[in-house]
Amino acid sequence: MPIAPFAAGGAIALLGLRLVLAVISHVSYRCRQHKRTLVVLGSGGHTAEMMALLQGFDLDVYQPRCYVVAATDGMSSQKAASFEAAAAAVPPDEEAPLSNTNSIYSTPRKSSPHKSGLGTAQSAAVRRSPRVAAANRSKQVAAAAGRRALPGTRSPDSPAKRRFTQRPPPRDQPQQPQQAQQQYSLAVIPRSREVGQSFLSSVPTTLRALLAAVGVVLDHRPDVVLLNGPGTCIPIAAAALLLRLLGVCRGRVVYVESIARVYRLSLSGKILYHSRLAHTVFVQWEELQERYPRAVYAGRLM
Amino acid sequence: MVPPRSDRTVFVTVGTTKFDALIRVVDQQAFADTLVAAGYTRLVMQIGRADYTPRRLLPPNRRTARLHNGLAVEYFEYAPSLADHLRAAALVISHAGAGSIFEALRLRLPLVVVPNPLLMDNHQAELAAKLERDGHLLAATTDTLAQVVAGLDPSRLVAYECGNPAGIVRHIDSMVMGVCVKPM
Repeated sequence: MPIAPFAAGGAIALLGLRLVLAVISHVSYRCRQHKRTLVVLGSGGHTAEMMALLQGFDLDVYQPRCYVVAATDGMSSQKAASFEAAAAAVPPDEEAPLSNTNSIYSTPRKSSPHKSGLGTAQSAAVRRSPRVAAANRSKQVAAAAGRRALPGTRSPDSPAKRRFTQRPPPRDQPQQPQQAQQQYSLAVIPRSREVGQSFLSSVPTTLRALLAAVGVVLDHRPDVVLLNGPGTCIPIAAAALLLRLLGVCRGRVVYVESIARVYRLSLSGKILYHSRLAHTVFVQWEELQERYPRAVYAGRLM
Repeated sequence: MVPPRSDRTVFVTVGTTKFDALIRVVDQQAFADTLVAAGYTRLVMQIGRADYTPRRLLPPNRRTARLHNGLAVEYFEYAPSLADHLRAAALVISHAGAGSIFEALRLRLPLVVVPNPLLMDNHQAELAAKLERDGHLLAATTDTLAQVVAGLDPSRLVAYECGNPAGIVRHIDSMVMGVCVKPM
């Protein structure tokens, strides 16, 4: 019984399915105004830089947002929760441009006095987010996000992926006409490699991290993936590539090298730069941009 | 706890790292004398994960003291926020972590950075060297710290202009929105 015609038929069917998925994904992307965003938090200073970057985005456009943290990182999920709570509490500004280029990178709650090139106004980051309900709901969200989650699975109800949604106001209060829901979620994946871990033992842990990363990217289907840190970012970038090839998501990968890197890229930066897994590699010093011509220098975060 | 206005505080910070060598070199009578000669009245050490606790300047099991030369000395391991300590400082001596460096520069504080020699394969020293070259801070080793502090002239430091995410965001916007229908 000849196998070739069946194999050819199967291949054509798969390609056809791939084409259909790609068309659906592209049409969906063009028709909607918001961009699904995946933010990978790399712990410590990397999280601080990512938060500084996020202050500049129009959060109405870059949503729904999913934050990915490493299983061993307790602080980053709290920082994400604080950021989201603060962003939800700021009143809307209809005059703001598409992406607010005037925002200063201090959160509304804790602004430190400094002079930036944009002027001395001690203003909080301006958002186009609509006003949401009670402030105590924001506190609940932050408290919920502070709980450590178990390593990732794809179920929406799994502890690993929690959706945090602003609850609409109680029934006895009048509903506000434009109650757009600001929504973010949190996913936890194992680190591919701990600091100082041997290369041999890194192989199974990296595979495990990669599987978890594929789960997260498949679940969230991001249009843009923001990376800046070690460990957790390579599996996510690889997962984004895989799912782009399958036509499941657009997954544009953006890597922002740490401001601490002046003359040399980090290992993650080098991998993403040379393999072209990232569509754009941002560097924060001109010296680094001269050395890596395909990288983009567009100012510093700090 | 707000120090009186005439206080000039030196704040030593190692962030969340372990940097015993820096604490050891600060915890010395000669260094305390250097500080007093340079006009400082208080020394606060944030020692992080150090195994070495200051024991030359401070009596055993005491966290604060006033020395014979008039210098007030205290230390602690961590604080929820170092912002208050930074704001009260006239000079910051910091490890070479980017977060600590930029927090001090943002507050326009005179800053001396000491890269940890045990982390020499770490890129941190690059950042300190670059910022020193641009005149925003002074870098020192544990051996040269006393000289650098004695010779520090804050008026010769160049204020650091803080960065802004707008440039990167604009790039990402154009990459992501480029194919989209423009909003109304």
